Amino acid sequence: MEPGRPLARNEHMDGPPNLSDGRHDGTYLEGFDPTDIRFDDLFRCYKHMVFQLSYRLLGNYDDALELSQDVFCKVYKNLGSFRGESSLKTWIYRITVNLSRNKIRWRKAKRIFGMRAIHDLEPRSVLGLERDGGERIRTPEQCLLEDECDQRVQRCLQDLPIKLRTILVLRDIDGMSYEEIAQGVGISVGTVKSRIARARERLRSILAKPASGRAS
Amino acid sequence: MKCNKIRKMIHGYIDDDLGPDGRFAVEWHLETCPACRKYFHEMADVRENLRGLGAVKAPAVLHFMLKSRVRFSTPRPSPAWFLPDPFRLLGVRDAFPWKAVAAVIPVTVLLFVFSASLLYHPGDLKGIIAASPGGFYSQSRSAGAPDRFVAPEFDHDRMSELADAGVLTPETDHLDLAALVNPAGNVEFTYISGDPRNEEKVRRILDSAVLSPAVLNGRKVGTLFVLSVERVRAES
Repeated sequence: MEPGRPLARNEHMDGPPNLSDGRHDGTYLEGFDPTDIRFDDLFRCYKHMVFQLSYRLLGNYDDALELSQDVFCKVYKNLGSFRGESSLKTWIYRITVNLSRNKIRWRKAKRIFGMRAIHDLEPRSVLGLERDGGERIRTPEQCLLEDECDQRVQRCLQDLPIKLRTILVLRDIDGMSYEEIAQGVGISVGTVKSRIARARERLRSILAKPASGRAS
Repeated sequence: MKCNKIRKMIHGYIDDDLGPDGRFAVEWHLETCPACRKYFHEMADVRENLRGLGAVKAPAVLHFMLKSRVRFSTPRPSPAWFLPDPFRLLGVRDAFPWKAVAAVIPVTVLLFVFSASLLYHPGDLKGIIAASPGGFYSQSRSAGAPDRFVAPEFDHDRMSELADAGVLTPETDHLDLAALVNPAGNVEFTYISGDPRNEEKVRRILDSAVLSPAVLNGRKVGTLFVLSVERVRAES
């Protein structure tokens, strides 16, 4: 499909989504009347973005799956009240961040710590968690090392407070600009800058500690 | 420039968020300060570690899990698919259930009008008036339909007669009234009861009738059915 053409209402998604058509980057639906957006278009455009953010914030595959569903349901339900003050993408980011916070608070309240999903024991490539340039040929040893490195960084990320973790994920993993982060989290740009500095310093000190054998 | 200030700027430098002057100041400082250079490399390493985590793709199962929660193939119903949404045009948000309130109000009014029409049957009175031009009738609070008394014209003797006959009982707690229907179909009211308490009530009602005939027109007021009041007279 050529970019810019609105999706017809009777188009359905059959089979696996085609990521090569340029619609998965989340920019395709910008500018459309939110009430005209179909759910599967919304899902197709933002599913990777939402799932990645959920996974990085929660650090748990199953929780990320559950949270992604909640996010899409909430987004679809509230599309009518979207005022267009920010981009659709930023609005969805904000919903994801808020729901992630709620889920983390709920986990703390229920004293659910150290849960490790069965999926987290799988090799990263099986789960679709691939490094950049995932097509290149790697030896099994390289795969193992990269998996371990990723898991360690992800575990250390979970040790950050949620406020700092959110900022760091949005900036360094999702590559959002300071202004987009400010809109997405609902804070000023100055606060974003100071939180990024604090978060990186905190993460550096956590990464510098010798790795313990605890589960994430 | 002091190291503290430079270290705050280093993050902007890493994120490529500094202007040319800021970049120059940071680079110049890093050339001369090994501690800040070390700090810069550590922060850059942290960033590279995070960037190296790579993209996470949503699993295909997410699509099927969501399918069970949302009906995919049904287009989302617009709040007003046949008309532009007035609330949206006015900028009203959905936080308060304005639409529900706006829907409930006309339903409530319709129910009220319907129930009022069940209680009030103007046709009954119209029939009485049409059948007795020039007559008068009375109605008491405890009575159902108004009793009709045939009289060619209004006079006090006839009404006293009725009172003596016990049809109109001033001593009861009823609010007894008589209404004169003139040939034009209009009703003139007068008071019959000799009870001073009733007299006061009737005066009050009739005074208000004089003051606000529009309110009384076609409506039930106390025990009075008033169809059209041209002139209201209270006599003691």
